[in-house]
Amino acid sequence: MIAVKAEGLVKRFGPFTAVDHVSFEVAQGSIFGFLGPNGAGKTTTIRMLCGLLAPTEGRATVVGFDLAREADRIKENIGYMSQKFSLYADLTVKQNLEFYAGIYRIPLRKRAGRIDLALRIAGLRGLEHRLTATLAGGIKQRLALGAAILHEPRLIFLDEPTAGVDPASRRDFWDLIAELRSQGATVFVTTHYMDEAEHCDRLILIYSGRKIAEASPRELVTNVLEGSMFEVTGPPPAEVVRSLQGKPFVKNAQIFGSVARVLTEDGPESAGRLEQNLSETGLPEARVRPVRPRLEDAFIHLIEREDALIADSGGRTR
Amino acid sequence: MALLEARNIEKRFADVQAVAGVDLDVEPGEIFGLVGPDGAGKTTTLRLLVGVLDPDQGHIVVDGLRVDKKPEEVRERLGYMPQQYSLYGDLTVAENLSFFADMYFVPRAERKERLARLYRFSRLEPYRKRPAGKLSGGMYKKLALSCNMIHSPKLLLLDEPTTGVDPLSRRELWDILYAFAAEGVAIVLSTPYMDEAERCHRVGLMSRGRFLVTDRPQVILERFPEEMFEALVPDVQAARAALRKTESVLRSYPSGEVLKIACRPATGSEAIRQALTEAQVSVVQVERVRPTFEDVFLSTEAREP
Amino acid sequence: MRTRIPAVARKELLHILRDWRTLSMAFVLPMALILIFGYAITFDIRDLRLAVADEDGTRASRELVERFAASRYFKLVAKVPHAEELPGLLDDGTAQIAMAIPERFAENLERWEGDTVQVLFDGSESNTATIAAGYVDTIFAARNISAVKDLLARAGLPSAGIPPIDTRVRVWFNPELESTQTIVPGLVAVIMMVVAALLTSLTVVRERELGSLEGLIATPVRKHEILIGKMLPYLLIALSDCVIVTLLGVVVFDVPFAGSIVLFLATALVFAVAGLSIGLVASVVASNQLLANQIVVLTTMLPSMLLSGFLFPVKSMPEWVQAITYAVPARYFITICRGILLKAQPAVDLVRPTLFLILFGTVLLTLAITRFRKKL
Repeated sequence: MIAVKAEGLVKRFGPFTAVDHVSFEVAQGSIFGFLGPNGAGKTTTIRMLCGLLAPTEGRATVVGFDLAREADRIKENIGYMSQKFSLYADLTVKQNLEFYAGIYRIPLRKRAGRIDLALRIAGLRGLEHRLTATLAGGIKQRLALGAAILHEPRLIFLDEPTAGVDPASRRDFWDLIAELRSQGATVFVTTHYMDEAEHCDRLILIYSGRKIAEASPRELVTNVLEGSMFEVTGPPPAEVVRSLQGKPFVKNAQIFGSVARVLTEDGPESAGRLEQNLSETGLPEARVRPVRPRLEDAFIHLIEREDALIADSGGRTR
Repeated sequence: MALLEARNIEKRFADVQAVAGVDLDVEPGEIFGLVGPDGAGKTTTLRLLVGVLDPDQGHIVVDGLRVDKKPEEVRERLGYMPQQYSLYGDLTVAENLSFFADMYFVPRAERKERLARLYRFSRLEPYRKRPAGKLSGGMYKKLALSCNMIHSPKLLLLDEPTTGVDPLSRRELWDILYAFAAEGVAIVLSTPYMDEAERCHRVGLMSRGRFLVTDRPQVILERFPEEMFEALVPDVQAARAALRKTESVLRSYPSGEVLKIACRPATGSEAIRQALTEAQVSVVQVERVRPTFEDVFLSTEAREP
Repeated sequence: MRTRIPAVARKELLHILRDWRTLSMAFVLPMALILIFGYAITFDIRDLRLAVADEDGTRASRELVERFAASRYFKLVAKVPHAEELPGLLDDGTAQIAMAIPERFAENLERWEGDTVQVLFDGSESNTATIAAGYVDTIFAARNISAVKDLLARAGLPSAGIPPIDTRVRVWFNPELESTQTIVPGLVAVIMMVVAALLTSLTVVRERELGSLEGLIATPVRKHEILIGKMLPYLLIALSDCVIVTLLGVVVFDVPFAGSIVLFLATALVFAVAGLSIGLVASVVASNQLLANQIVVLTTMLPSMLLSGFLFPVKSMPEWVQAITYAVPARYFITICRGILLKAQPAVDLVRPTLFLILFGTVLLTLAITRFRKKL
């Protein structure tokens, strides 16, 4: 079952192309992530899929409804949590939920139950009568999520839901999302946090409006990056990086705090080769240890590849 | 002598204690990271260090000068990059650089060379005539950094310099920072990204206005008393339920396809595997992983009142 | 001595040149204002609609009517046979003034028995009515004097002792009593004040809202360098506006420029600084642009228009209001403007108002610099 199918979505604002021919499919009941830096086109894409912004080109089917013709039906069946907190600071928690219950036209007899459920899922029991303005950031986010699921939507869009929130609240929030998924909902998340992206079942990497990868976090880290990642400790990282400059089997070396992270070409045997190389260049005390590449490494690799493609075709890079 | 010395800094806004007793020492050439979520007090701390906010208590000394007594002399020696956009969007890259050079009285004779160097670092030379408002996030931050380095300050204070920029620009920004640090510049930066903590020379985990711990990142991780594991389990919720009953498991949280598990020291993956199998939960794999700063933060927070 | 003022001023100029909104406010607005005010506001009443009931129908009565009809202040719109019809014409608005000449008007005149010509005014616009009454009196007075002269001539007596009298009253220095001549100097002051204060009121507060202030105050730049540097481009604009508005006044509305141009520009400079300083104070004090705007409108636009002598003479205001006007800078510049433009007054006569303006500017600028803190 497909929750979202996007085909060649394009959005232009004047001469600026915010979303550039993006296509993907989201399976029902999964947590799907849109990962990319600010300005990459994530929020614009979500707004198009929610029916808030008309695409310049392209089509999409959201929860079975066609975006161009049935945008209103889509809105009835999705939940949307925007990047900026958009509930009312001068209303209490309960009043905000009651307001949205009214907006979604939840039948009166079901309303109390749904509000109660939202309070429970969002962990807001006991806070019903607190003024929203007095809540901490993480709790506000949970309230916003609670409001977005009042009408039991099958698909929930979350735009940067945990930006800036403390790690504990972030964990709680993702527990929430996991519970929603276990109830059969599909969750579509955008984020620029690399480590948050690892919570998703499947990821799309967005860069300058273009999709540059689509895979699960694990696949991205193991398959995309061709090579092995090592951490070199001992000598000052700047010296390690300098001594490995230009070596053919070293794809990338950079300082990382007080260690150096090195990406080499071949398989794990290259650990020995690396050590040998370093000691030959006067750094015998260097210790090499294989580490797991991070999502960020994969992303950088893909961005560099993308930039190279653009440069080759004569276009403008970042 | 430490280039930056802050003692017992406090700042209160209405009924919120934004900074509650912070001590800080930063040496030349050191990159110190203030790591913590929004609301932890990072921005307020940085603003206090610059002197655009006055502390309720405590004093700050930069390069031997007290910030409250000689604010302008202090400002000559530091560069400050606020979190929000603080350059002039309608001025070009070159005009912004020129303006800040004027503000710091950078001698005309030296400008050419300094600009050349900064352009080399930032790779912004091709965009000299572009208005700052039309730069991408990464380029903008590099420009802001350049504007703050034009007068060769001894101390850089950066509020979330890498938030929201693409990973490639982030790496480039860090390369620039390492280069400056190698020249002896002391850098204090804030970040909400736990994983950036490891890039700093020293780190202060900040929560609710105070430091939970301050040390070199490796030391913090090494001293972390919990063992971290990752388990590949098809039924994450069932696994969590089973582990909740296991005494040596402190907490577990799902992360995409895996379940991250925090345990007491010397637990071992076997114990976990056993606990899961006993509860009829199928396990594909359990492996020990290095703790991350998020794990540290979660655990220290968990122990905080 | 090194100063950052030129750098700050240069940057501010760049901002202004790149913002079409500021530019249009700086130049289009003043031009629009003077054209609107110049053409629309006039205290001269012309073509007052006059209805006459001539019940005498003699040569004398016709001659009287002629005097009125020929005057450019009146326009004969109705001649009716009976006085009873006149009130109706006033009521339905056909006429603003109604004149009833009684039977035997000429007879009584011959016999030197005074007679009454009744003149009715539509008083619903009291300004108009008052002024119209003045014109009517003037015309009657002129007519009476010329009647006396005729009499003397017919009696063969010399009339040399009676000076020839013009139907128009000569007002000293403004013979045409052209109200534009009174208004335009005032307009120059008002426009300069409003535009100067509005423009500067946004400058500091906008940086605060956009976020660049935080970065700027972290540099060693001094407060006075920021404020004076920001003021300089707007000073240029204010002076340009002064020149433009005055030029338009002279060219389009025939306002004279009798005095010294150098003196005019010098005093305009002083006045501009005062106006700009008000804006700077607003910009420093207000927390957002909307508030800064409102402060400026309240403290400059309204007082400049109502309390400076621009439209309403200060001397005819109640004592306590007159006291307030001493705090309105525009009042002094209007005095100076009228003095230089209309009366060619030399510098020595304008020392007092100029000193007031210098005092103003200094106090306000100092206030702005002291209130401005390089802190968040």
